[in-house]
Amino acid sequence: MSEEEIRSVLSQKAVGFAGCGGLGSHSAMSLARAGIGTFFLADFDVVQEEDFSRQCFFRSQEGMLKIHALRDNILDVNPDAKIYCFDVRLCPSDVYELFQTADVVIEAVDVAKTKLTIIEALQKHAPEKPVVSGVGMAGWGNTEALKVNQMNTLYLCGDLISKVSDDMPLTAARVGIVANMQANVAIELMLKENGYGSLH
Amino acid sequence: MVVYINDQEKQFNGNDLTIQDIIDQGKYNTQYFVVYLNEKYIGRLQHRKIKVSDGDRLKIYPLVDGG
Repeated sequence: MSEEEIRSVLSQKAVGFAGCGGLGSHSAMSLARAGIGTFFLADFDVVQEEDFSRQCFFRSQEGMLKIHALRDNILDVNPDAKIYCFDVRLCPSDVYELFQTADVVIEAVDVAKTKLTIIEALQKHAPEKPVVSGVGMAGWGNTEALKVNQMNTLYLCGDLISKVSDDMPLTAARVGIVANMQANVAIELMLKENGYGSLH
Repeated sequence: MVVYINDQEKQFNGNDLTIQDIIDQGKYNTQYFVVYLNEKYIGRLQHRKIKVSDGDRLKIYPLVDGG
């Protein structure tokens, strides 16, 4: 399968992002570079100084809503992308509605309780929709502990253990690895829908 | 009673354990979990209500802060 064929398939696909911080911003940019056609971006937060250590934003974007900053960055890479922005704090009733037409949902929020809310809402209302979640990426090193756990349509990327704390902050490299694992799983799932399996 | 947790065989005393009882014995560093019982998703409000039987297969995935 050529790169052109891959991009052609992915240009017809839509991905939802529940959260546009460290995980969401990096996975969205990788998917933009892969040629995804439609993005649904949901987040309530604005770009702040502290985000530059690990999120895919720039100083010129400080103070912007993350959904708008990420939209601009995606369009810089893929000007043909269709992007729908939702300035919301996600609640169970929103989740299904916002991402109803997405082929895959990337769960990329930073609070465990909210992660569960999103996963539960989609398992309840759309159990057939793949959800790719990022869980356990605080700290640094220990790359071999990062993996993908799958059960039915849920994919959990990360080590499932490393919880952010004062002693174990989030660092750009480990967050970026997990974000790209999420993007990689999403691409695999969307290509598989069209009959293209992974190379392994 | 034998229960398979994340594909590992575990022995438990008693036959009256709920999913939450099994989670509580796991010493996880979070109170939020994704749980599947015999491949069926079990919502968090059901964890204290559903009892586990001999031979059941549980998948317990902890959810931690960070993103």
